[in-house]
Amino acid sequence: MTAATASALLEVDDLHTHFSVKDKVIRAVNGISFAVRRGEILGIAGESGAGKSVACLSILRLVPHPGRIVKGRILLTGQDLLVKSEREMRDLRGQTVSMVFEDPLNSLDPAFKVGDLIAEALILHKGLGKRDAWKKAGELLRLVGIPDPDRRLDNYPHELSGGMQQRVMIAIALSCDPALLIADNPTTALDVTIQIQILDLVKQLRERLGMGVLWITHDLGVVAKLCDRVVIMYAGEVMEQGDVYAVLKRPRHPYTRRLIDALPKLGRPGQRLLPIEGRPPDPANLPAGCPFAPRCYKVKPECAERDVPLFEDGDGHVVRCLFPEE
Amino acid sequence: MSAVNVRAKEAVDARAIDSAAEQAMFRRPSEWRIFWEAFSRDRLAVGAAAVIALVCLVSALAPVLSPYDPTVGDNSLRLAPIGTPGHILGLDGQGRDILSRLLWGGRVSLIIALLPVAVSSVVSVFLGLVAGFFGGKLDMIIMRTLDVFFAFPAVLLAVAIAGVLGPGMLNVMLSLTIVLIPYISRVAYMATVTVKNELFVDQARVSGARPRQILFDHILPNTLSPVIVYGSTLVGIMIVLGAGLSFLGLGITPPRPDWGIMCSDGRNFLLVAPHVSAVPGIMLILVAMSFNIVGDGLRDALDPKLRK
Repeated sequence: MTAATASALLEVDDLHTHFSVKDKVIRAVNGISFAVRRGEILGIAGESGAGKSVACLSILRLVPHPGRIVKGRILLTGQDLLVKSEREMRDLRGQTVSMVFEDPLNSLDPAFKVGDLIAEALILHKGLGKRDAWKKAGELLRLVGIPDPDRRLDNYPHELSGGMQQRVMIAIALSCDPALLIADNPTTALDVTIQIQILDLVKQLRERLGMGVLWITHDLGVVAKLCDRVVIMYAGEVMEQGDVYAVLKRPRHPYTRRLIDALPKLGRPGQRLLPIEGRPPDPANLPAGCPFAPRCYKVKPECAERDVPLFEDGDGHVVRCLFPEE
Repeated sequence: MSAVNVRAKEAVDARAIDSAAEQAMFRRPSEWRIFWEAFSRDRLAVGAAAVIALVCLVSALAPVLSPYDPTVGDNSLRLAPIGTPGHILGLDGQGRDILSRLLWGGRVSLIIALLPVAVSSVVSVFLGLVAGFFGGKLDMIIMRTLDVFFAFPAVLLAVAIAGVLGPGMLNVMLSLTIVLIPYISRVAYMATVTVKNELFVDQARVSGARPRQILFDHILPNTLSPVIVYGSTLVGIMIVLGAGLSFLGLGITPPRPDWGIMCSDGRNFLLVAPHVSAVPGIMLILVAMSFNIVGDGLRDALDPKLRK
């Protein structure tokens, strides 16, 4: 599989994250594998509840309470994250790997000035004094394209616009030159023009800083614009994975295909959208075999009989389907 | 130019090319300044703060300012009304000068009101933070223990504690402190639980912050404003509650004056000489209200979102 390439920055291998609630086990992430190479932007796309966010939090080892990583391996820059102590993880967070959340306003502590918020990680990880940290914070704001950065340092988060807030979030995430940036739906709260600006910014920063980016989204348009490769997730499993162009132009999994069909097309006004019938399976009670089988248009009896393995064609395009599209 | 001068000049040059960020840091007004600018915009709060400051000052200077001994009465002038020559605020049922008693009583009443609220606020914020943040067993133990105190009516609990400890100013304050802790702890606890689930706490965690930093840098500042506001509303009540204890013989012992005792002393002559109760009563209301208003003003000035 492509996951094992030497240049991989992040390797996630057969990750299972389950939540135990009373007597039920909710299998939010159910055996996913993917890799992010240095300088690559990998998109993870899928419906709400597909396990994208839990997968991210698993990488940071910050799965909320009843959740637990039950199986799998996560290698970041060659180090196994699942055997690290909490203290070692704290040193990695914000430094080697950092994360940007969906909702910028609520992610920024209202009691702090922007400068102090950015300085926090610098003081924590780089041992800078407050003055140096503020200086660096100003440079970071310039880096993420905020005009008049030194004045903005003195603002409180609520005094900035949504796009500015998200730029501040990115500045915080970049403050300690992380090798990997995880972004969980960071553009959903923004309007489209700002969204494009943020995407361009991330692309540009990736080029300049050479970091790997893991971009979680449910917007295939964003994936097409931003990512190099994409993982399509469904019910906690990888359905399809590969080069963005290949996956979106020539989807092999019926699920990916239906996702693309469900998008509105530019230049074809009046065309009805094709929703995917049914709803995702209950993660506490997953069907046997392919989880998409109950909603699939080309389902055959074999689909529900046994777990479907991942099939790979030569160029790293992986699909979990017994009857893939050609 | 001497070597020292050259070095000094170099230092100045280095300063000059320092980044604008640093200048911004120097230029920005200090936190105190920002706070004061926000607070001073609220005229009412400034007025209330001035009232409190004035009352505190005058009470502190009671030994100098007080025209008469507050414990010795002149029986010939019992219940003399406001405006009696030599006794601006009149005399009480035992012929004691009300102004003098007001000044001396202020010392007792203000301390009884402020100190328990301050001490219990500190204790409560600690308890509420710990219980709310760490949750689980610790939460259970702390909050359920406080619930036991909650089960008693506040006044009854204060009476019981003061009764066990015996009369005296220190004991009154101690009993008020104990009575207050469950109430303020609840407020601090609720604020902590709310703030704990905010996304910015996750954000701090993602940045690699230690639990201690999350607790003190991010959660504590966001829980202070409800505690300050709540605490400031309690100050007035504490004057009254302390007076109640004194009235029951569990607090300040007569003939020492205390605003609460003065109010209750006057109740026998309420129809004949209402000023005996009214004067300390008005002071009580004035001070209690001032604390409320200052509390509101503080909250507005401390919360960056409410400043403008």
